[in-house]
Amino acid sequence: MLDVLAYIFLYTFIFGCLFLGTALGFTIITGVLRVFHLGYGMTFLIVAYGTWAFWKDFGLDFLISILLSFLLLTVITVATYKLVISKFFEVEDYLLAALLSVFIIIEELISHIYPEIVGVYLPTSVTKETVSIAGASAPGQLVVVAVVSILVTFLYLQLLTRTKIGLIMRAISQNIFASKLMGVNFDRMFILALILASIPPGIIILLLTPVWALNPFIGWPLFTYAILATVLGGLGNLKGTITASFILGLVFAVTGFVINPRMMTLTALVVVIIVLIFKPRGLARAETIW
Amino acid sequence: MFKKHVIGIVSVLIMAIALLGCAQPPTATPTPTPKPEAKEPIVICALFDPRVPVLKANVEVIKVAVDEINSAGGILGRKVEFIHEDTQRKVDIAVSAYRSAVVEKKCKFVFLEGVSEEALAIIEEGAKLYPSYPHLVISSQAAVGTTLKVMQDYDKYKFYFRNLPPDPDLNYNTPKTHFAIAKAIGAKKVALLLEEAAWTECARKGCTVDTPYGKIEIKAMKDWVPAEFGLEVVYVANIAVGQKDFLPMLEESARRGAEYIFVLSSWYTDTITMTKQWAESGAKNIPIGFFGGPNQWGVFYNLTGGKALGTMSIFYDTPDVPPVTPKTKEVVKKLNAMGLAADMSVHYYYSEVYRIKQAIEKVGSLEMDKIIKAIEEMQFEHTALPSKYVYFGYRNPNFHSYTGGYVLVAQFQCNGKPVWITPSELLKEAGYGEDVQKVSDIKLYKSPEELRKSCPS
Repeated sequence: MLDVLAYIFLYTFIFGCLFLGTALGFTIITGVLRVFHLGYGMTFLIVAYGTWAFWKDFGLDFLISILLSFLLLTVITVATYKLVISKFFEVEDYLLAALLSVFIIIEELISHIYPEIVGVYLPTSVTKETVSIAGASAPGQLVVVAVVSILVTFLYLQLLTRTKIGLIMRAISQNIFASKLMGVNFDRMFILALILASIPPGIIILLLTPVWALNPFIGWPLFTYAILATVLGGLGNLKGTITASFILGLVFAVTGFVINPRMMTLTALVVVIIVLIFKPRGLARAETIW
Repeated sequence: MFKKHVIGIVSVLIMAIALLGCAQPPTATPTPTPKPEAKEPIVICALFDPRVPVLKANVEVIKVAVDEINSAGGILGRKVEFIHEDTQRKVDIAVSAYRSAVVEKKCKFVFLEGVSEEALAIIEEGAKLYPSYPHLVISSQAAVGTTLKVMQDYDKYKFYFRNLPPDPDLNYNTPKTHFAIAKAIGAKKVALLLEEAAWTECARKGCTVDTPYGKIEIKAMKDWVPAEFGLEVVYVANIAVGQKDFLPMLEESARRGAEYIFVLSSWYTDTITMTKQWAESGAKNIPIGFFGGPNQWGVFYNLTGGKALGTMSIFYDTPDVPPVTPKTKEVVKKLNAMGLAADMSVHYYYSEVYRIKQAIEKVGSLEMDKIIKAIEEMQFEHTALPSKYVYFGYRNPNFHSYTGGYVLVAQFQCNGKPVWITPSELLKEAGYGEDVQKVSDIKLYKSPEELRKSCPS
């Protein structure tokens, strides 16, 4: 019994951090831009396959390939903003459809150029050891993912609470019209928010590939994690997302180790729906980013 | 005077005769010689979604077989024409593509991807088309419902064949190889991780199927494994389609003392993620065996970044594949050269093209009823399985299907080299040739722990 408890504690932390790492960027986008970015899943693909392309097809150094993939992601993010988001900003249903289309286009393109049989694999393993804590064990790499998620979240919180840019983003998320009156350059801030939001999922996918299969359709399950945590947390509130991530982590861990591992995602979905029935705006008390 | 007239007439007559003699005899109008009848090609159609790598490989291997046959002169002097139709893995599109193939494109032989929902719809459509458009359908789908129809109403559905054992057999006889290996390597406790899909229902819950050719009663895998192999089943978990988090079930398998993990997987299970997580989990030293999915590919080792070291799988890929027939290695080499991998289904479809060729040549025509009979009665050389497993004519619940049995299981060892470990006595019992028995040896098995220590990283 004690070892089961140990597993639950350890995996609540691991799964919770995984939810947090994937949802962090999505929360920033929904919190600042107030856009339900249905194309968010493409960030995982662009960084992973971009790194592979620069490394293997162009023969560049691996670390440089990673940096270039983030640069590529930035370019695509800016292009998505200029060509899609700013164009359909006032027409939400078109915007959602357009963002989804962009995601699918990128996914299909990658699937065509790098089908699974190509064997894309990124050597981003920090450790191959198995970590044992109080009788529970887990892949060391997942512990690394968890720690990095916490670290990145901490850094982003510092950005949001201690910098001018963070202040402006919080202001926008609180009251977009008042921010306009204060002379905020929305285009620039939105683009900046989008770029900042695309970094955490890129880091997560790079660290996750040693323990998750990398294929052109990996964007969807990770996007599902991001949506679950963000929606439960309150659509754009970081405090809510952090709380929601670890609640979902607990649900995953208990279902996986006590109830039935096959029901993990279903149970998480049911929990989200039940919470939303009683708290339609999610766990957060405020509709602001922090 | 009279003499002058006579001479005149005679002269005219002589001149006329002379003129006639000099004239060319009229050339006889040639009776047109009948042109040799243009031999219509034999049309083979493949209905597959090419976006899925395993299905794309199926299409390509059928095309390889057709090209080989055409290079050797075709079938009965007739060229074989190959047509591919995309089903998008949607039932309505598949049925529409099928109708178009049979009615408009005159396909006589239709290969269908192994999706049971499509097959069930197509067999009904085919029953309507067959009287006017005799043809054959072959599909590697598992649901027994299709061949049950063949058994229950032969005249209506006889055109349908399954190049796979039906799911009760697929869930029972074929996995036995893994449990025989588990026992041979000294395991006493097993964990069963079963994909939760329609085709595994017999393994998860047991099943009873009543057919005109006999009844099949299969217990749930957790019940027949202890009964037949003396192995204790310490843990059973179902895997959801699309699941990514396998650590709870792997850790639980380890916590309960499993000494072998069997994964009843197909392409719906992400065995790549499962392997990556297994290799660094608390279960990493427990031998793990996979059934179907990307683990049947030679590139599986690369896809997992080398973490497949020590895993076992049903395996017929790479040029080292044991020579079930002389063609086995050839077809694998050809596919590998095209950048494609050869899982079991590739061998199934390739072989069936040749079975069709053999049947047509035996019958000497395209009379479909006779071809169907010939296929049912034919002993046939298959690139992956012994003849007795691929005989379509057993008057038992496997009528018009393959029969499950022992298969080649390989372990990924150093540098991803597959080493075949199915005990050779089982291969002998199954009917594999000596060349295959020599290559596969359970003594070549090494534990994952040993491999991690001994293989260069």
